[in-house]
Amino acid sequence: MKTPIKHNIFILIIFIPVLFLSACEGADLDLLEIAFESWAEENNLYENGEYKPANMVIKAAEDLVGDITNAEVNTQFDAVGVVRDINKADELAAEALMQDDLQKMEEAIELRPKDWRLQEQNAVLLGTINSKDHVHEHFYESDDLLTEQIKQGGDCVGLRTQQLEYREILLTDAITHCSIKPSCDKTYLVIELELVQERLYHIYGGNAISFCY
Amino acid sequence: MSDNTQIPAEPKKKRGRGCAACILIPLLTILCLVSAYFFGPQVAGWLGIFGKEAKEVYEAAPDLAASESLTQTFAELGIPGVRVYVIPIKDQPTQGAFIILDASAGYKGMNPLKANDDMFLLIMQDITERNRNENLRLAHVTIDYRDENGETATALTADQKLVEKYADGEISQREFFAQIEIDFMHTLEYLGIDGLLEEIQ
Repeated sequence: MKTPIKHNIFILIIFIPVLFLSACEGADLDLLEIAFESWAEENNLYENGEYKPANMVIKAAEDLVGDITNAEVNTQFDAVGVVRDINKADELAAEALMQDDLQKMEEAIELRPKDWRLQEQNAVLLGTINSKDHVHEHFYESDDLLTEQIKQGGDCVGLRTQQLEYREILLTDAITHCSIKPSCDKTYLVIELELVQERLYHIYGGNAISFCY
Repeated sequence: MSDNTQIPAEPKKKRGRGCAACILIPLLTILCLVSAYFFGPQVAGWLGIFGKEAKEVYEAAPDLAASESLTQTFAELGIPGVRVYVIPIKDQPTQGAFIILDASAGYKGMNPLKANDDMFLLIMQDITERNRNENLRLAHVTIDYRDENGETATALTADQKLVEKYADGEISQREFFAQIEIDFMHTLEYLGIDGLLEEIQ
């Protein structure tokens, strides 16, 4: 038989997330309450105002198994942590570009090694600190990662345009950053920017791009 | 004489084997358990028995145009503190949309302007429309509710097909929520009441 304490615990489990989201306004609270209640009913945890303790434990066990076996839904939830990694890597890369810090850039790439945007930033950083020999190496690395991404699906022209526009913004910012530093030689960055803009005009003009063929 | 020499020799051998077994069996068991714990999921993942880790599945760079487009959904409705990340799914031609409703970045609910419209439905309809018109190739929509410290309070995920059914009016809001998934364990973890489950047992 269910004790009042246990009953209260279930109310706590199901509805407390709603109360904890104090930043949310009334509409969100109502929405989450409906979401939790409907979900609990569908998962047989709550029926006709009654909570089902045994099913609650089974559900928790199922979730634990899903976590271990990387079930699709659990992977989607774990990916919330991947978004945090993206944020962290972006922050590190931005700091690296501001402070000309190769170590920070390496840390960012370590967090997200298959993210072509970080290779782009690394290439521009190397161009800024006059390590020109390795700039193209990292632009090629970025191209390879994007090619891999395109192979799995997605519009090649659209994604290539995204990449080149991203490179254009990075180079423009780097040139501005370089201009205020007495020791910085922006010649190489300007040449790279002109090259990128030429490629972009080619794409904007509706011409076929060799990258996609 | 020969009997006398054999008798003391035999128990010595038995003791040696027994002791070795006593040490080896628990040692091997512990070794197996440790290996299974650390390497089991990876090996099972390689063999296709388990799924891949999220870090691997969502390893590619976010689709910048798609992410910007879906972030615009919220900006156009006047909802601050929301960022959307659309990330390609490894070995699949689809992408996952992650909507971050972040109170630490100024999120104050889906209806900050107190409009009479059903904002949640409007958002789902807009996502569906953009997915169709811009070919975003969405497989799922995952919502991450973050508190004022930026910590995940709870998360929900829904298959894109389900989102479209709801957006197209084929199912009600209650039916939609009944079929989504809620991150049950992490929500409990956030609340610090995972120990309660043991108590209930």
